[in-house]
Amino acid sequence: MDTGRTAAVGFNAVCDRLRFKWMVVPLAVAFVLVPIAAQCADDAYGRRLYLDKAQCSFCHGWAADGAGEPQSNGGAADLRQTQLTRDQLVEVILCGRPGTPMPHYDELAYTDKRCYEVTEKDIGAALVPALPPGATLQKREAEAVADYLLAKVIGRGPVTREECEETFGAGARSCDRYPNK
Amino acid sequence: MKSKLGLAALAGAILASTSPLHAGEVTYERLLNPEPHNWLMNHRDFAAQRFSPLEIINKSNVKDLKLKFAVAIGGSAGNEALEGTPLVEDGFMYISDHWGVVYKIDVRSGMQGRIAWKMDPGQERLDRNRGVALWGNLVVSVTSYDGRVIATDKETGRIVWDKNLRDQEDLELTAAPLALKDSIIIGASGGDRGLRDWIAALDAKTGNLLWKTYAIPAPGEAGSETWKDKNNAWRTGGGAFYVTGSYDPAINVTYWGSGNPVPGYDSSFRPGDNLYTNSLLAIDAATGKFNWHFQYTPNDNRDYDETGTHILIDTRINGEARKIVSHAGRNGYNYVFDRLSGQFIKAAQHVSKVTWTKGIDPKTGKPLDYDPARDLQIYAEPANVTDDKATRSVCPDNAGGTNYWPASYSRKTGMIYVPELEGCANVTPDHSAHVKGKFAGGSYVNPGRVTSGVVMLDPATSEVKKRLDLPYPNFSGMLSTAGGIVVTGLLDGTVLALDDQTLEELWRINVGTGFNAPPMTYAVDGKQYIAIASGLFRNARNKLARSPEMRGAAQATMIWIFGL
Repeated sequence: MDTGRTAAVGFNAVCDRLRFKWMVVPLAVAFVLVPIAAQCADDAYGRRLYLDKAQCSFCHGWAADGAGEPQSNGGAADLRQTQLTRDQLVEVILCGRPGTPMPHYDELAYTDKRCYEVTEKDIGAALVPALPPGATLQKREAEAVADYLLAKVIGRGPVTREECEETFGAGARSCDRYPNK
Repeated sequence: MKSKLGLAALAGAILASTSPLHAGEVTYERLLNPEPHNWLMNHRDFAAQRFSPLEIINKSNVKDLKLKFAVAIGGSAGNEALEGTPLVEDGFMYISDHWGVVYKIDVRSGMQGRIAWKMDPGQERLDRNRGVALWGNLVVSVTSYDGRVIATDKETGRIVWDKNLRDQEDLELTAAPLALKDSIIIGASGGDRGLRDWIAALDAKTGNLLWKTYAIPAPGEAGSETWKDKNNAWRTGGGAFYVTGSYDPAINVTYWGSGNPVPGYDSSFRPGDNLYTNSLLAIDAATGKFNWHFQYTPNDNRDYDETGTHILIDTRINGEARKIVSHAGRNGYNYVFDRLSGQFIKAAQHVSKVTWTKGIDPKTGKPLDYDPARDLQIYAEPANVTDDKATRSVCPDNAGGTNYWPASYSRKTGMIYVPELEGCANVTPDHSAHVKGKFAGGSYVNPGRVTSGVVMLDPATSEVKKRLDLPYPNFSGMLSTAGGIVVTGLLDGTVLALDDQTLEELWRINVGTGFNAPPMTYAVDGKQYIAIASGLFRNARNKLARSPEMRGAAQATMIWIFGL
């Protein structure tokens, strides 16, 4: 039993219920649910950034399992198994990883010492991570991506069909390969 | 009086815009001899020359070229791109976007493009799409990961047939279909994710499958002896077809280039030459049988696909009339063959820098350092080139010395114009990266800037005549015309028109969004236009990673139409 995954799936179910039944919950229950609803919204926002604005999925795959597009650089981390903390995730998103294809989403990275306490001058242009391809992220956005990863991806185990259909819709052919649970 | 005339003109205009959108059937005869003002198939003609006989826009007036209008298509997601060549038949344009949506656009006015209809196939994932084919009264298109081929009624935009060819997970259909007399040829790709690509023919009327031939032979089939592994690598060996082939109607043979063996960066998984990857295939259009083949880079581990165009030319070599097929290779060389016999004639280096081999054997066409006795080829690279995690620098880079963006052959100058790419990559094999979903067998980075050039070469002698260096990568391709110009686009959003003899720049515009689609030309009412679609796919954008001045560049999926 993968408790991490179960917890995530359970959380999804709460989110789904919230989405449909928000209008009829009693006031007292609403007070309890408000923080949960806020968390769901954050996940959705982080997922949107992950898939769309930042296009993390191009290299890491839509499921963040490292199975990106073959046209990407390759070798992207399997984030489902990452050991990084929230702060470290945010740092890597904003600063990239020097010497690898992981880009830096903070436009000003390496212009001063905000990233790993080094500048482009310190480590040389060849080691500085590539420019973000078309989009930058602000710290608040990087945190939302990290929160999405922590809530929905990290430690969730193998990709499931349910998770795939969350991204590509019910009955998607792209999801054929994944087991139901 | 004045107002009556005005009213009559208005009524006429309304009538013109609301009358049935008539255009003739695209018959085989028309495909064989396309009208000068039209562009009826992906490469314009069966020979894949991308040469237009139009000369209204020419060397002397191209300096006056202006943006006439633009049309936005796609655009429902932030990461969209366009890679298709628009087709134009009698003032109507047909193109597909990366959702597989097909558009019919009325460009008759020369002042704006009005979308007459859209066919949205409901493709579930965004992916590349390189255009459509016209056949009879049908517009034939593909839907990448869905694996569908769809024929849409050209007049109404309604689907006539919709066939699902998805026989493997991760299969992609991205090449524009090739319409022949009675059949539609479809190339499958997606091999980089570990599948066995194929080429197929469908009955044009019904969409029913006529034949399907895999790029990778099954055990026991001819060529299977070149897969010497114990991994069943043939099942996942790739060999993609993502650029539309050419066709010689005289012998009913279609010429397609195949993609790299998979895993792309790890040849140790698949010892042997890995037929029929990285090959030119002369395919009997009636049966799908390979009449002959030529493999460019056996046992490749640099991602040197050779799916790019194979241009058919009738020329004279050493005073003798020859029917040749010419291919600008991703591996950095341009090859010329006798297209009837398959005999290798000559190769010439078209990029400035090649490090993976010392050159091409002028007799065999194989790399000089190809060793048929070896199961794992080293070529001119370090001896540990196949080792796990052994990073090495290789030029051309993994995107190649050119790629899916097509060259053009000018019937006016007798020259080929190759849109080549200049760059090197640090490639690192990863022997664990050959599981479903992660089948690249390694990774790459571009440590330096990637640039490009236009190379003019004589196919009869395989001699490079001229080269123009350009500061940004070319993922667009070439157009040549009887007006004496060649046109191309760059990743930084520049469109260039060059003199077809001197490669001198005659005109340029920068529209602020990059190009990874080829330019084309057409005419309506005696006015010639040049059209090109914009918006970069991620792999193209990646090639700007070391061009810091492009840091903030964004993308828009538009079709730009220029005229005098």
